[in-house]
Amino acid sequence: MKKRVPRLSRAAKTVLNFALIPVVLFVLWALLDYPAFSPALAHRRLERQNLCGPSELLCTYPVSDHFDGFYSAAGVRDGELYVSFCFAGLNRFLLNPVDLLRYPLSGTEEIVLPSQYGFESYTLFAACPDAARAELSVSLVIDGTYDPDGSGLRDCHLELLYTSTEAERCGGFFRFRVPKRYTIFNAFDDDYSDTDANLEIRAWSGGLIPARFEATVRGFDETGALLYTFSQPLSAD
Amino acid sequence: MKVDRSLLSGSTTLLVLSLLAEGEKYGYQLIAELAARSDDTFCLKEGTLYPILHTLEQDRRVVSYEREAENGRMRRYYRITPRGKELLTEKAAEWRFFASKVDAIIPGRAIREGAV
Amino acid sequence: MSLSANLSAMSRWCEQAASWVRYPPDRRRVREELWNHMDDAECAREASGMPRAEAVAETVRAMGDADEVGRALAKAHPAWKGWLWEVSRALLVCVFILAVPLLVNAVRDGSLHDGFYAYPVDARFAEEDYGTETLLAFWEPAAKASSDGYTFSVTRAARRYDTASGEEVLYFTVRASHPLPWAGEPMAAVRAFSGLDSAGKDYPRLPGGTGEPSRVRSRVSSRRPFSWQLEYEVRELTPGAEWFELYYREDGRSVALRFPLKGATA
Repeated sequence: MKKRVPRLSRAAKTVLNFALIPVVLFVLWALLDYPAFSPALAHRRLERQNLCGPSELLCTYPVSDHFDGFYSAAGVRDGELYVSFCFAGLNRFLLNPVDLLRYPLSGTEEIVLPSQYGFESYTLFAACPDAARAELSVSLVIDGTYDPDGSGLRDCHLELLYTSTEAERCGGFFRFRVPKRYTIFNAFDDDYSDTDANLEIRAWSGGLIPARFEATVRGFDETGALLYTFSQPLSAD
Repeated sequence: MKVDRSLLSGSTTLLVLSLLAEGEKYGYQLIAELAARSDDTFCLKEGTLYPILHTLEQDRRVVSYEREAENGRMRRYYRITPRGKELLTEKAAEWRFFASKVDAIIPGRAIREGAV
Repeated sequence: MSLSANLSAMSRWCEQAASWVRYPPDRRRVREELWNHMDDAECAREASGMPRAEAVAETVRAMGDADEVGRALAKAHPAWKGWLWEVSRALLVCVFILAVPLLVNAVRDGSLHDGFYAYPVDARFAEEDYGTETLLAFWEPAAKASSDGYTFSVTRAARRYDTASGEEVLYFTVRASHPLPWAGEPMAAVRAFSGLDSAGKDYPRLPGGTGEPSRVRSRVSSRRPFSWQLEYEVRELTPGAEWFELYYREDGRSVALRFPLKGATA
């Protein structure tokens, strides 16, 4: 004779199911090593790990031109700009906090260039508190002598100008994206070529040529009148 | 003796629990026993037993399970729980109290001796 | 009435009563139970000598009004409870189904929990000599401090004299714990804590890229569910220093792990 007695009522099983859902989700989250669900949350966690903050969050933005899933968040606190980085792996919406960097602010018009990775565009923050609109130009100036084949020294001057009129307001800053690859006329090879405008002294065959970058920011009010302009050399650290 | 049905309606739960307190039973068995032991006085509409049983089960006064019957079909048996026994005690006490008060009021030995 | 018509009268009654129960599994159970009951009742009536057609009719009549019984059954079996159970089951199944690709992806991209680890105890943090460094003292300090939910405590310390360089070196371990498992390791403790000794000498943790080696070096040597162990090495310790303090004073925080030093030679 078959005798079956259900041990739990349906109501109890329903409650148990609903109770298990958050438990299973938590275990899953733990197995994935507690990813963050947004760049802002990753930023907050990194602040706690670095015993700093909480900063006033200004914006979050994608860092990479090529890969989805690399994000930064920027915040400001006590005269410092906090920039955090996180990335998503194959699970697109689960972010792994990576690092938090802090940059002291002088409190006046200035440009901050957080560390950049690899071949990605630069993100620059220009402090323009009262402007309605801002423009950025970056010039790369290469001056130097070059001896390509030992036949003699050649003077070279190479100037590259990049202008960006698209900037995102980020609290008291404008955030610019500056691409890294440019097509420029290469005086050494007498030809156009793609080049990486890495903020580093680059080694050309035959010797090191010093390069310097300079950024210029112009701030405009609502009517389009120029409020101010300031320049700053940029460097790679 | 024919009895006014309205007297039965309030006490069906008490009767069902009382029968189940004696042992596990299935639905038709309960109906049959109810009729047999009351000399057919308590002949409720058979379909109305199941809402009562199922409500008692929801309230955890009884539990049910299926067992294979002689005809090969699965038959659902009901068993009273400790909670159900509590309710039975309560309802029985209520009934006795009610009956004693009615008894205290209705007049006469003549009626008690069963003159119809 | 034909047999099938008779039986269909019973099943029609069951259908009608059961149709009031909206949740299908409950409806099936109720229908089956009612049918079994009617079958038993009909068989009993036939066994007592009643003709079949009459037994069926009597059985149907004895069951009562199908709609009235059905309404009462519907009250005893609210549909929303059944559907809620279905929803809870479906959600739980969805969660498990969702987990599979997430875990597979995490295995593929290496973001799965690394698990917990502990490097083997380094001889520098044990009660013994180490290379050219002779042990001056080994003890278990009790310094404790906390910030941002992290609790730091100095657990072991070893002071040694390096016969090769003539300097004193301090090694100590710090246990950092946090009640929330998702807090992440205390990066500040690895990269931003500096040192101070009783002689007033500062052991700054210098920001990277200055070219100077920092006098305080540290690393995470173990990770447990709610805690990490950090190992610190402090070189050029002032001989005769009586205490050492590992500190962090920035951004409104103050972490000071001061512990007495044993084994002073001066």
